Amino acid sequence: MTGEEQTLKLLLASWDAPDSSAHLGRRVADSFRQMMRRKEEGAVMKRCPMCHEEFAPQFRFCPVDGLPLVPAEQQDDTILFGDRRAETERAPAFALAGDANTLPGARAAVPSNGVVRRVARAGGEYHLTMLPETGLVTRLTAEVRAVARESQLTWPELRRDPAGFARRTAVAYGLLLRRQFAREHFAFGVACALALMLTFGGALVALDRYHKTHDPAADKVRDDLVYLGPVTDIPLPARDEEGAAGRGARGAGGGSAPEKTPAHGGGGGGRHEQTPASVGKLPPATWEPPLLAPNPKPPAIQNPHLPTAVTLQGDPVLFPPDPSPRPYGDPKAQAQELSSGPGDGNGIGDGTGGGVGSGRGDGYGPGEGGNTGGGPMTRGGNDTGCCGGTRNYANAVFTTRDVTKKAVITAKPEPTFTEEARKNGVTGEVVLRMVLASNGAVTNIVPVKRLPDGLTERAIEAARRIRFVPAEKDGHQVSQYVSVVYNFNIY
Amino acid sequence: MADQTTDEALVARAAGGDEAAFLALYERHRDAIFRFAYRLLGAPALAEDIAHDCFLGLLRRPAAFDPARASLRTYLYAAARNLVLKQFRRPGVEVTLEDLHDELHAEESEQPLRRLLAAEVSEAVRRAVLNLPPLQREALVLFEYEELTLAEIAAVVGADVGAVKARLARARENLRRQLAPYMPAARREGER
Repeated sequence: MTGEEQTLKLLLASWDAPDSSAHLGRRVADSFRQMMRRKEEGAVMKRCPMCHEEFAPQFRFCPVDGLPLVPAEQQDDTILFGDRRAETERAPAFALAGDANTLPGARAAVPSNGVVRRVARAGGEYHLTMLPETGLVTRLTAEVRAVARESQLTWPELRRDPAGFARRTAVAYGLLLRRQFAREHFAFGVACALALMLTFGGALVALDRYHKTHDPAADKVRDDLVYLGPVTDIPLPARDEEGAAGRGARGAGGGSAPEKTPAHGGGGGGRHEQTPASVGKLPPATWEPPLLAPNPKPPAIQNPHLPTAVTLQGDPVLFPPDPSPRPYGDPKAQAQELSSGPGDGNGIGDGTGGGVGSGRGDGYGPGEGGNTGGGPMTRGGNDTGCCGGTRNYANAVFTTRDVTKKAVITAKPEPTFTEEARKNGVTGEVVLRMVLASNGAVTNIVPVKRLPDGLTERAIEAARRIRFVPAEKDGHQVSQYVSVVYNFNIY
Repeated sequence: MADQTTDEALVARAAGGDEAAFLALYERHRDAIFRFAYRLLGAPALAEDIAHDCFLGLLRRPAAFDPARASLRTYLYAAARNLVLKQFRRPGVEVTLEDLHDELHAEESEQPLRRLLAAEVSEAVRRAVLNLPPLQREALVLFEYEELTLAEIAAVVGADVGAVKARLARARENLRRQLAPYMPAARREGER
């Protein structure tokens, strides 16, 4: 023995093994007695051929491996480990401790890759079957590949003889169907499934029709909701603009001047009547001072020898002749009762002069000196004319910026919750855009931001009860847009 | 020969339900089987399990023991070896260090420094043996610690003598490499 070997022996000797404990002796003795007792009772322990765990006789399958248990006496205690080749080489070499081939069936049941474990039916007894462990994507990929492979096989046949292929396919599927229906209870099952599907589909259609014919007004019967009617965006009247005057010739221009200039001027009149000026047509205009002022109630002159035309002073293109038999008056006035108005100077309106409107002079509308468009009289031209004359404050709606005095809300009732919204825990805010009209009403309520379960309707209902002082512009009460926010919170 | 006969008779009586015969068998072979299992596994608790299963396995199939082919101890070594190898196949083999604690407190009479050094060497040897591949380890343990002959080892592990010798040589080579830092000190200790 070399010195190195001796050294190694010395080193190895330094590792002592402890003695076995006394507990082991008691344990072995207990197990011995238990085993003998079982033997006397005739009970045979079972063991898993895969993991070699022992189980009581009443168990049939290993919960870990899913294999049927076998009597422990048949079990091989000498199964070796390591690579499988080494096992098969070594196992028979030492037959003293058992036979390694006692369970060929059980071993064959365990595949090498461990993907699918299936225990065959043996001796008329159903054994546990393990489901494939492959994932959904893997199985789907396999199915798609199978379909692709089948398509590759059938495609040349389809191209060669489409009609024959279709016929053969139909015959094959027909046969398959016939064979299926020949099976016991198959037809009954199919009929039941069809009936179920038809019933379900019919119920859906009936439900849909019921909803279509259902009157939304029926919501009125609900205690927690109040039907307020559909919210529609009511078109507002066109807003009157001050400034550029009159209707231009053929729609272009604010007068007969060649350059682009807004027309200015105005006129007014009145005959000191108590009632406001009445609505009516405007007389034509000339640049000459008028000889006869318009009068809604012209005096009856029998057999006039020198008829004189009623005119205004202004651009003729802005005052085209109106052949209708209407009396003269202010086209933008509201009063129907014929009146020249409280103004002065024989015209119509509350201004001064022989014109029509609130200005001074022989023209029309606010302004002075004649013509129309406001301000001192100038001749306009080549501008899009429109809407000169008096402003219709009653119909116009202004934004907050445009009014001189904003509308003041004096009372804003808060909306209440609906039971449904409370149950569903709906919170948030409803934003409504509305018009605080000059007559004190709240109109044109349009929801900008909604909430479900009837909260928007509740907010609209509350908005209708808003009380306010109307906005003002140039001393007139006017309508104003506002946005109102209603918060719905559950505390 | 007398021992073998006795072993055989004891096995027969134990299989018939004679507890005294079984305990006599157990007392006779338990240390060898336990030490063998311990040196293969490195954990006393696991070694006790192996020894327990080994003796009960003998009772379960007493006919599997053929005294004409090998002694009972050889049979028990083989059974213990197979149970140990089965233990290795299980995921997460439990290995405890209880024995290290025990060894550290052994030999109270020695000097503290020497005791510490001896404990360190012992632990290094233990780690080196347990690091050996299983086939080399079992051959080494049976040869060096259990002092079985090559033929007996061949019977236990189910290989021929040549294979056992090769495994032993590889095991020694492995150990020399792993225990190289301790070799000179051990040599000096041996010379003293």
